[in-house]
Amino acid sequence: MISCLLPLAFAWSSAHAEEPAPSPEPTLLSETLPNGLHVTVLSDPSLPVVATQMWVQVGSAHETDSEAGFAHLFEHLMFGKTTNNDKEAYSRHHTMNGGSENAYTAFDNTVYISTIGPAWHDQVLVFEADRMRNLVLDAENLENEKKIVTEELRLRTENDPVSRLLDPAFHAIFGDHPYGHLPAGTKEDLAAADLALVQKFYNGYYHPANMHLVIAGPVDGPATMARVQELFGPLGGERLVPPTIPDLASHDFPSRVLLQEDIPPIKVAALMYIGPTMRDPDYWAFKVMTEMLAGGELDAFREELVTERSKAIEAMTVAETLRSGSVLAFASINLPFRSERRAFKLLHQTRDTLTEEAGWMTQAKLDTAKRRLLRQSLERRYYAESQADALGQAYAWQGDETFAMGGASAAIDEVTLEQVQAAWLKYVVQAEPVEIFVKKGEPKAEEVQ
Amino acid sequence: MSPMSLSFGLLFSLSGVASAQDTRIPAYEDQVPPPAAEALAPKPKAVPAIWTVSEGTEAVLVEDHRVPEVVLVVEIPVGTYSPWLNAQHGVEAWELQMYDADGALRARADALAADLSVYCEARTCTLELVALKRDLEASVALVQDVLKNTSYDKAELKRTDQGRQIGWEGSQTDPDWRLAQTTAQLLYTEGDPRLQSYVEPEKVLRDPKALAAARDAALRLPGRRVGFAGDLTRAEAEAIAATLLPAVNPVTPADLAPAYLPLRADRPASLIEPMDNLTQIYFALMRDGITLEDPNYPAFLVANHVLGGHFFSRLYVSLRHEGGETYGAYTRGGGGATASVYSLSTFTRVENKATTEAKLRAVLTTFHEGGVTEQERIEAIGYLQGSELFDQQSPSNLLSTTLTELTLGLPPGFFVEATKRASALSTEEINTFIKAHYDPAAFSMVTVEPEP
Repeated sequence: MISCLLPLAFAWSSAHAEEPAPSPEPTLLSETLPNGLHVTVLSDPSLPVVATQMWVQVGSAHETDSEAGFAHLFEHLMFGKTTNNDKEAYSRHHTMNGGSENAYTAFDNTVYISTIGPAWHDQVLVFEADRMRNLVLDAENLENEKKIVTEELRLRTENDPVSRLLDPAFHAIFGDHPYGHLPAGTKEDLAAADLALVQKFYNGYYHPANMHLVIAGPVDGPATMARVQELFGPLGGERLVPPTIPDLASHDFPSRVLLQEDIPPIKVAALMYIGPTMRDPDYWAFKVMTEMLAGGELDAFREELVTERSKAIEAMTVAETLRSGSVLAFASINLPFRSERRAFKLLHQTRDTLTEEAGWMTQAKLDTAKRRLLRQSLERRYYAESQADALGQAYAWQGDETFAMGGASAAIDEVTLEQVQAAWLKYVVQAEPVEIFVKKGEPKAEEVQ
Repeated sequence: MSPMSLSFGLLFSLSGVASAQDTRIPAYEDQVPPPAAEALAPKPKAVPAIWTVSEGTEAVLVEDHRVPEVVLVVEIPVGTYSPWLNAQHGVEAWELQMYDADGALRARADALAADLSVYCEARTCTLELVALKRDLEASVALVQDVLKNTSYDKAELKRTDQGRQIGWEGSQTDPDWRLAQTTAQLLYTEGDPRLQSYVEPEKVLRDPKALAAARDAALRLPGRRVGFAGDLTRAEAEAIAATLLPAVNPVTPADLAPAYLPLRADRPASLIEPMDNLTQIYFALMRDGITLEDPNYPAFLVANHVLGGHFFSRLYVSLRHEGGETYGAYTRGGGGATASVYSLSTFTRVENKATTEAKLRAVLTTFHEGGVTEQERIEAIGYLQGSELFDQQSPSNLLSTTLTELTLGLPPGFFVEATKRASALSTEEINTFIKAHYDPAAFSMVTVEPEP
């Protein structure tokens, strides 16, 4: 059933009537096949390449304790041979036609990505449908990929001090929440992975009802949708529903965490606050609030702590959103003489100043933040991959891919200054932050009472 | 954001992902964007217009009205390799000019919802502003005021100095950086500007008056360019370009150009760089790479792609797919404006050093002896031609390629032409180049590995 056929230039121009309408007009087509596969086709004749992304709603956060790192390991296995094609065929098709192919595993999703010229796109769909049905899973390939992924893990998390901090930091901060272990997993868990686990992922989690196929580029929407129905319609099996990830807001975080590593002689202090999920009615006000704080050249927190008060050599606001919640952190980088107690006191004082002398929270700043967010969404129109990425994420996290197009602009446009003030009060002023302190020393990560 | 901020921003970033292919950006200096191709593109989306604004000033426009946004670029013809610019601390003069004492310039950029960046690369320093079309007039005024700013923020100069030192200390514990440093030190003679990124940074000059003077002098050098991309017309661009910059100073300093020194002739066959706290060994089988202007550059494009340019390249197949020695194996560098480090690179667990080193050497030996096959040549050309579409995605893509060609003194369309030339080569011609360039005797093996 076709659920949406929307000329998107209209969606943009109606949300921001003062902006000239982009042209030519892209159209969005979406449909859920009888087997549960959700399909979105953004047809934009102005794009030179086609992006195809398969969003699987399984990431590292869905792994059990003994499966850490397996979602990512399985992602590697998906580049193996099938009953129809050898191991090289999919990548070779991209390489010999100037395209690119890859995949990544995050906390909430595993995403397979392809970008290629329109002349070669149909074959990408053929390959994609083939590996979803006919992947050959054998012990030899599993053992080889285990070695490869272990090297990736060493590269990303063991051989650089800041990278080494990441895994213990996530454990210490998120504890037993599913975000408490990184997608890379551990060497021990990877070593223990077996073919039974492989089959659980392939047959259960990689069920079409757990997946979303996104296509963006100069394609004929209805014809592409028909081709997808033909190729992906026969997929099926017994679905395994991924476990629900608790919202971060319901998690019991530690009050203070101390991290040590072989970093340069500096001390980093941070206050971390938990924000709403993208499905929460407060989300857009929170999003605009973070943009007002730090979206431009001037970061309000840095300006107060570093420029005005000269109490740190650097400071920053960091905002991130995951499916189960948002995080807002204020961090300072200090010279070694700064004590932990003093560093946190300064962070709290700076936060209080931003509350009491809220020069960053004005109608003019709100309007600017909205305009900046609009510009970012307009820029995506140049890139098929950015469009596909936004569509995939909006559907995975908000259940509605039109948020990636005009929907988000409309939601942002409706945010008022009062709503931003309320978000600051609720998610920062009245909230208890996690205090994080990082300094040079023998490696350790611990909760401090 | 400073490198220091970026490093620790990562700690608070929740978007950490693991991916199928190693997509880290090569760290070597002196690289230029990958070439584009033409054959399979039905029709270019836009053709860059280039004109002379006045004596010593050139303009480039890539007109594209899909999105109501404009990109404005000011580029001066000196960068971090210029002795003249370095002598007067011109790099920090350029990069910190948007930091005025009261933050007014950045506040204006924020009010316009504009992205404003100022940076220096090896041969150029650039100011780039991206804004909505409706803010074009105010954006142009902002650019002019940034380029006139004399009130450099002294506190920001001090913090930049501290940040440079902390960044330098941080780089000492990054094995990839250490590998790049070691290979560069093997290739270049001490004092060569191409070693600049690998020596401890100098103190930042904290004299606003001197910095403003250095920036003003640099801005008046002939050979500067103004670039435009996006939603504006030639008439609009011409009007802005005509009044944007102060007049060129026709008297130019003598030591503007980089003073490249001869490459080291005494390179050892192998070198180990020891480092603490490693669980892997990082390899670079390296030599000097050919330059863009080398007649063999088109042959290099094909050879390099086959050897280490994709997921089923010779290196990837041997070191990753057959035996799982590593996560990534690729070639880096080569095809620079000047001779640069070219390497076959990979990494592996410590106990697997001998196997990996043997395989890495064997790939090179086999490649040198047998060259590429006809099928590999065809696929490499397909890659070069097909990837041209990616260069057409946005007007800023095209502007960037055009400015690179102009900066390096290359004819317009050089990269497209290089692919055409590569497409015309026979397998035999490519293999003749491989026989000469990929002789294992010309390569040195550099490793970063744990202290014994």
